[in-house]
Amino acid sequence: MQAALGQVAIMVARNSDADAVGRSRADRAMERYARGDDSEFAHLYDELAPRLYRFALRWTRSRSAAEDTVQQTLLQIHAARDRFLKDSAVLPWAYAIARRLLVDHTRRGEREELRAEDIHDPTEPTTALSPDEALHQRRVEAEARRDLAELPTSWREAFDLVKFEGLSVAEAAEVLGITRGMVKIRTYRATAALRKATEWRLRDRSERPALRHPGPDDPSEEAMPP
Amino acid sequence: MTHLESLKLRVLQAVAERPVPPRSGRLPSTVLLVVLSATVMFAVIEWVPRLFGGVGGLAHAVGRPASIEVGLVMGIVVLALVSTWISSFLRRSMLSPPRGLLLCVAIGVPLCVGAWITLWHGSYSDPFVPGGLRCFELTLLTAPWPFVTLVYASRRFEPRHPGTVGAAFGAVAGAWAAVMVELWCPVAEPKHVLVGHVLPLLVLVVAGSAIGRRLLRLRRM
Repeated sequence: MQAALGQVAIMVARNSDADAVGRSRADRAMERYARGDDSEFAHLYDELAPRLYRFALRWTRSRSAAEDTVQQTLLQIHAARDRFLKDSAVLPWAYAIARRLLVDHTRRGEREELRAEDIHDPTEPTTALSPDEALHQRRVEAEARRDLAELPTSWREAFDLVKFEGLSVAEAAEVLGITRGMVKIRTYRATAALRKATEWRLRDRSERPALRHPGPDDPSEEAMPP
Repeated sequence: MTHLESLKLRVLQAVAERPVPPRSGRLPSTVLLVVLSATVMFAVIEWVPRLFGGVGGLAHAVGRPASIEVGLVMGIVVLALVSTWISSFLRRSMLSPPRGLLLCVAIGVPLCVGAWITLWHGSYSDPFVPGGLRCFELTLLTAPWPFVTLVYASRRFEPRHPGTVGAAFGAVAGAWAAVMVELWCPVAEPKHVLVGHVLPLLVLVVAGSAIGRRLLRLRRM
């Protein structure tokens, strides 16, 4: 219980860095960097890199590809320093760049499978598990990954950004280039499908429900790897 | 040292090797480009018809009543301003507006221009029977200048949908070109409007999409 509350506290702390006008630490660092303070780029890295790395690692399941994505994204941001719009949000922009790089990476088919235990949040504290607990955790993670992989790409992307990355609906909408309403719909559908799959597993039914419910908002634009 | 810390050293080293100057005001250069672009567009309308033995400039449209001319052109100016605002200024980050909105611009501008000009058909008698593809050519010759201005003013790469942004820019440039061509062409006959005024806008949307895909896309560094 204490551990769970601690995790929630960490997540809340991570997402509550906005100032009075709603600008995050990353926004403020980028603004200072654009104005000419070279040392701010290191702060910008500290704000963005862990999140982008986690995002890229979950997508590619390859450490080298995730590092390459983070590096490329930050270099693109650096290259746009002289034309950065005053008071613009950095986070959706950074995620959109990373997402594009990852889509291109996927199209090139460069993937290196990692084991489940190799994919973890670099900011998350690691705890020692007993062999039974580790086995159980691995099984649960494998099932969750499989459920997630079976979701339609558009649902999975929205779910990933909102639930895993902690972006607001507005930020996720900017990253994906769709309306806020569409992000809400896709996230809701993904959550409902995952809940259904989990319920099925708990009841141990012999027939697994299909997670795909193609709707009018499911154009399957770009491939996202499982 | 964790892998993120070693990556940080690599990124900071790469950044130090490719210095980029801080943000500078680009309003003066953009304004200059807008003025230059407008001048070139006027020059095209003034001189290109003369090269082919026609009448250049506003004198070509004298057959149409002035009040109708003003109303018609003002309508297209409003359309051009709204589409410019949507495609270039309606954003709160470095990213473009949603794809749906840009598609509305790309598809809506040619349709609105065509519908608006045709709406005036019959309110006055056309001063002459239109011939050839002069309006088509003039639209294509005047549109590249606002297109270049838009790309320069935005000066960005578009990681999500560069083709759609390019198509919207093509439509906006076409709207400004339509303003200029409407100052020159006094004819509102539907068939002529379709071929001479709407078709070039569709060509510009397709060309803008192709150029946007090449010019605005994210390039690896």
